[in-house]
Amino acid sequence: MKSWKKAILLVIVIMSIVLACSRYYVIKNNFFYSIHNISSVQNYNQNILEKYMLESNIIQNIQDGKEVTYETITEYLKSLEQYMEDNSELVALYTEEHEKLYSTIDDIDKIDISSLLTERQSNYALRKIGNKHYMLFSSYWSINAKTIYVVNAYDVSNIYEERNRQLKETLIRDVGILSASSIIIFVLAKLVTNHVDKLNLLVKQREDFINGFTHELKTPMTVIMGYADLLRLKKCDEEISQKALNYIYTESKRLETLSLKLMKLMSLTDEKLELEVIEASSFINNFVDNEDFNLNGNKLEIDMTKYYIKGDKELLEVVIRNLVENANKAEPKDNKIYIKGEIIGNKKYRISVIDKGKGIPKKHISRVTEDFYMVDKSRSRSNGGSGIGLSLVKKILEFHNSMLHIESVEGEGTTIYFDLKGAEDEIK
Amino acid sequence: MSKILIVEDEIAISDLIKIELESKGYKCDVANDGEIGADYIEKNNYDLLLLDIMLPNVDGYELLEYNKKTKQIPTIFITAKSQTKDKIKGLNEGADDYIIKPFEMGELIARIEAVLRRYNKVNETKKIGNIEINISARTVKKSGREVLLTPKEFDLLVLLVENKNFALYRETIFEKVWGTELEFETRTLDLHIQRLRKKLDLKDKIVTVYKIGYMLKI
Repeated sequence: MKSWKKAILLVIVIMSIVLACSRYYVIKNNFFYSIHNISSVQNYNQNILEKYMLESNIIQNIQDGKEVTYETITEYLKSLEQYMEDNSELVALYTEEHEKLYSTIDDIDKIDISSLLTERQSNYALRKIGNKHYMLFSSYWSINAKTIYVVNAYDVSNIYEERNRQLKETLIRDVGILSASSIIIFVLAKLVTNHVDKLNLLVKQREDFINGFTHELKTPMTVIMGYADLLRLKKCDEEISQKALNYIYTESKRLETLSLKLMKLMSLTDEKLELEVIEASSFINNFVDNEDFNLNGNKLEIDMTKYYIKGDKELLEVVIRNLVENANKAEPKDNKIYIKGEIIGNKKYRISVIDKGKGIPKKHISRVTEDFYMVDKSRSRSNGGSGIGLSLVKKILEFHNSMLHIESVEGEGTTIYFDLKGAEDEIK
Repeated sequence: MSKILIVEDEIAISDLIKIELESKGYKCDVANDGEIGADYIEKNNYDLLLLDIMLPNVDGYELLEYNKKTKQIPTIFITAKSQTKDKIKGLNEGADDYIIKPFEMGELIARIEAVLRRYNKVNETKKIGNIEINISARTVKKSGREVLLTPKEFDLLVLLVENKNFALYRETIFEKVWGTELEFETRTLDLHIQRLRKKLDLKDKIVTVYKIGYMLKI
């Protein structure tokens, strides 16, 4: 993944976290505002009003010459209760010693209201009673040197409900966004690592190519330069001179082969081939008869079915020669290399080169067609291998719209085959 | 004289190094695969190892590791691996030097001598009769008394001494000492030879080889 995509993704994640935090902050602020500013002012006014009502009642009683006691106030409050239609407003009455005289609030004993029962004005507290939230106000009077406290409770549950609803909504939304983005990040990370693995393989292949190429070039060059320098500096004896010249010759020969193969490989990369119609059996037999394979005693066994195929003769010869040479290097136990040709379904013809040699270790199979890739680097070289043969074969087969298939069991042998398009129709 | 083990699977190259080193008076053993190399290290005593990295059976790094644990012989890697990270790896693993193929023999010899000098395994001086040559101080003494030589005269003398008893071609001598190709009919080389003969009293030893060049005959 490109770095700008990563950056955007990161920004989205950070933004969603920041947004979530700020939303919580806003909700919290809204809640406090509505509780402490709007609702408390409203309820405070209500409380003042009720206080005056109670006060005027007390004054009325005093003017009427009636005695004002806890009982008369309780009576009065009880009489007011019928005006309170719903349960949104509750009231409680306390003595100076914080003793409860009267209460319409259930479970008032269970909550702590001591902070309210002081001689302070406009004092309020938030308490949860049952499953409802109340805003509690207190007011007091001194009657006959006795203080009496009245606690009014106003239901503010709806504000809490609103806050909870908002929080729930935000939570669901944010969890959704976060989980969605983490899934996206996970998938992208997976894609990125796959891509990185591929790139790493590519880098490894390129490195192997460069290493192989430099090794293939530098070894013969060291030999040629070294011996040539030896010969031109001093008059050596006959034996050393002969040896030096031989080395110079064989190593330059090796360089020549390598350069020819490389040039073939390069010329293949941008050429479009005209394929001709070839009769497979006679083509292979003719080629094998005329070609001078150096098989150190191994024999070729040919079993070809007659069939017309499409291909480039010269290039297919290169393929067969390389595959036979490879089979020979595998040191077949029965001293035989098999070339087989058979018709398979869908008008295709399969050519296989089979040996019962040492086989290719499993982990190397997928890479043997890379340039300069050698399973056993030093041994292949002493066999005269360059590591370029199979990659050339692969390229040639690509021009025939075909692929090289390698089946090999280490220690038992190797079967390499490829399928070519039949041309029987064109003959008729 | 120092004994050197060459571990190199490319026979052409190991042969070449062997021929050159033996002509310089070193004793050489050659192993063409890592396992044989390890056997040689175990059985014999060497002053220096020349190791290829890509070797059959046991590779150069493993062989170096083995050497470090056992004999701790100074080591030079000879390899086609020319990337900087390979060099760093080789030197970090404890090689004393790293030389990349293709190399010139002159450079390899110089590096071998540098490593041997570092371990005090080579005499600073080469002796030819009563003449003593100190390579690093670039001084020459004859019967204990210093003889002043020009830089070219000195280089020429060292080349002759290093290849003693070999007839050296005029053109190549000139190229190796002066760094340029021998110009037609120049007498520079012959003048230097004459002065060397005179200063060091080598009239009989530096001989002219007909149609080839010169040779230091000991």
